[in-house]
Amino acid sequence: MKTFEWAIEDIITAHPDLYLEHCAVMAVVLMSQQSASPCEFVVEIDGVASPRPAVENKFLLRVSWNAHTLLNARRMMSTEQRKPIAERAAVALAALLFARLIPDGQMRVTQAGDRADYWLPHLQCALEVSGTENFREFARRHKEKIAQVLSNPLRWNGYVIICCFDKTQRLIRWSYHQQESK
Amino acid sequence: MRRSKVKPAQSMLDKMLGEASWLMSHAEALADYGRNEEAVAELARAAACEEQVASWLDVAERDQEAVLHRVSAAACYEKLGQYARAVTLLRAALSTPVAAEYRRKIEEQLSRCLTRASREMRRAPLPKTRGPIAVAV
Repeated sequence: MKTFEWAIEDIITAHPDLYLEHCAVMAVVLMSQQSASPCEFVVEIDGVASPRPAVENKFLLRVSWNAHTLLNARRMMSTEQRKPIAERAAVALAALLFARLIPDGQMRVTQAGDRADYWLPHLQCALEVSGTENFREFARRHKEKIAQVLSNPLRWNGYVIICCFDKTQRLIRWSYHQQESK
Repeated sequence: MRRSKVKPAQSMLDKMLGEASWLMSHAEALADYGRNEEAVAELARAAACEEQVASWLDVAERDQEAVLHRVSAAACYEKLGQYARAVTLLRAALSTPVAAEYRRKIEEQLSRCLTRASREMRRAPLPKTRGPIAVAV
């Protein structure tokens, strides 16, 4: 299986339209509890076309972090609730994948009621991201997010990225979904 | 020398869209850190920026995206407790045809803001419009 190793801090400069420092820190909160840097994830891809060679249906992603981010993560551990951490950590990993594998994959956000909606304006795609620490929730969450991304207000096609930070299963499922009729 | 093919107005709009996105994500981060006063100030900036972006998208005839950003601005104003302003934006958003499911969500948001706005109006003291005229002696 092909392996990539990238630094989580790369997302900060890769997405100038988003403030992502806190997402990077939250990702390190979860990853550092399970492994030293780098932390490994199996990434499963479905329908995502990357021009990068050797990206097949599955690859190994090793996410590294620096000492400064780790320090901030340790500070955050005592203050944050678990659910926002997993959600923001997933946004960080999604930002990393788009920055590294998809040209013009810059993300933007708008407010949609209580939650944030992510968009990839240059690709005219919507993006749904979610994170969980429980592998049993993984498949259900992916299904829910597919429905959600396809019901986006602009009726754009969409990507779904679900990240699982379970101690026994560190997995990312990244899929692309098209509207039935445009 | 190569010239950029991007029209100046288009690039300005793109810049504003980016700015609105950044403000929104920064407000979210500040709230995550529990820096609520700063988060509120940033959310107010994001709301104003989203509102402006929506107007520019109207000018660029990108109506559907304009609705999205108007609803986003309304969501910010709702969070800020500025319900009357949210109502105005949501009514404007509903004047553009959108998918039925999205329309239903906007209508729900509008109904919630209307309820809160009228509750707020009942509670608020009447603004003073007239007062004694100060005469300089």
